[in-house]
Amino acid sequence: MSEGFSQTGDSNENATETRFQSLLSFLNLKNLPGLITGSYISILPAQTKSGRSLTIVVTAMCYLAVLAVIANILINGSVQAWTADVAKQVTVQIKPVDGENMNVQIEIATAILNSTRGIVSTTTLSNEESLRLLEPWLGEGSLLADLPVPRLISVVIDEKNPPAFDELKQRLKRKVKGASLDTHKRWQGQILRSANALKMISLGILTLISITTIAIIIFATRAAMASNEEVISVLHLVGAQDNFIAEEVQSRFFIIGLKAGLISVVCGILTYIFLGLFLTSYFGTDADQTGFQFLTGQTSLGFMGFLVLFTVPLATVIICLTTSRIVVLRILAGVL
Amino acid sequence: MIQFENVGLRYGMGPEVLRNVSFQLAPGSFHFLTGSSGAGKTSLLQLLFLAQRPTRGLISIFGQDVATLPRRELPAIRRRIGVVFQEFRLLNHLTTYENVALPLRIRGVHTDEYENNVIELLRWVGLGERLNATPEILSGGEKQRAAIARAVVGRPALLLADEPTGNVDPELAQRLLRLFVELNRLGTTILIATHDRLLMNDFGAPRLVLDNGELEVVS
Repeated sequence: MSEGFSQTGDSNENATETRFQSLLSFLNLKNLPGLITGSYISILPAQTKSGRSLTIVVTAMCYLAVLAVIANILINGSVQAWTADVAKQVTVQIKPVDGENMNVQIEIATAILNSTRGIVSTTTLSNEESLRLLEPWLGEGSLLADLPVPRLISVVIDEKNPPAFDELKQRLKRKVKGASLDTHKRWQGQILRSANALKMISLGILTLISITTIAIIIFATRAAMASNEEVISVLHLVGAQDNFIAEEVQSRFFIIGLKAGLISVVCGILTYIFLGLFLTSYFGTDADQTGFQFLTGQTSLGFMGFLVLFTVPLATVIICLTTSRIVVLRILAGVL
Repeated sequence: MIQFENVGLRYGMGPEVLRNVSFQLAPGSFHFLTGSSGAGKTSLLQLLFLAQRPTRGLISIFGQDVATLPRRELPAIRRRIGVVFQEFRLLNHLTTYENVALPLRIRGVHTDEYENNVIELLRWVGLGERLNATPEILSGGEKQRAAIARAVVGRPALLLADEPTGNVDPELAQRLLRLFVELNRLGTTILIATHDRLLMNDFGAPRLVLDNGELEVVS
């Protein structure tokens, strides 16, 4: 019985092994295990100075890509945080009107708000609190006390079941003189438009980096083929198939792509940490003062963000493998 | 096995370096290819190991018309042909062992399956102590022997050798020739390009004599 179980286990392992080998074969990467363990000896000569320079250039491109990805993640996170806060709240503003008692107007408005379905709570800002909001623009002093300052009611709404804003706006307008409802949609729209523009810029940068990396790999593959012309000719004459030669060249670029990708992720994460620490120490952590809260720890990359960064080495390896393969096969197609 | 019919070869717009070349090599035969320098020996060998396509005529190798064969089918034919190049063409960054094992490696044979055979072959050609030496530090004779070992390691059906004894002393030349004879007895078709009249006289095999691009078969 146990023997039978053991055999089943073995056959499962064999099947898994076969599937893995098929996958590597499909990706033309049968040398992958040996490449990772260092036991595979390439038929092509070891890396030259130009090979090391190529690694540095590809690493620089990957580093820029990592920074663009970090920027994209932070912008996304910040926009989500801002819009989530804003979406939960609306504000009722009551301007002073001659002949009307402000406190009475506030009571009427609060009553209307509390009786409206979809409103969770209301908080009326006191006159002092309203004045404090104006202090950054008008300064402290008796001047403010003499000004007719509008009063604000902060309203928390039920996001899943929001009130009918148009109807609420009309009711407030009819029953409370000088009242207006601000749903912050305009501000939210501006934020979203700005964030989308920034995201498009970072995606554009990523696209440019990818195109540049592909161009670099094409150039480097051609150079590698030219400098190894004699080796490739001998390989052909002893019966090597194009796939075999392509695999040898791909192995070289696989290592370059993997090294460059991983180094760039580490450098990108270090840059993120050091920039965050620098901005925190330089500007402080108050978001209202700095406007850099996404870099000062209030919006972090998060575990998923760090995982997403590893798409850069993955994409680099894929670019290196496919580009070098296509170039090698095209060159070999022109050789007998 | 090998058949040439009215084969002509020219490089670019130049004159024909081979003209109306016709001959046959039967399976298991042994021939010498000779002729003065510039007669076209290397060009003929290039046609045989598929480094060139003829400008005209028919070349049939192992029953296939190689002039019209798609290039993706050429490696399978090349694997049945062992070639000893005059300039050796060993890969300088690989050791002697790795150079000799190359034809087996590209066929996907696992190291465990060929390691002992390759070492034994290298010992036989007198390179048992030079397994890990790179070609750059081998002498001309040692390179010659490594090139021969690489050509025969895959048990080719056809062996082409361009001046294979040109860089070795007479004693070693005889020994290498015995290797070719042994391979021939095992069924390998051999064609050796050489200027060495002594070698040809000693062995007495039929000769393909090239003169100014034209070939004559001398039995």
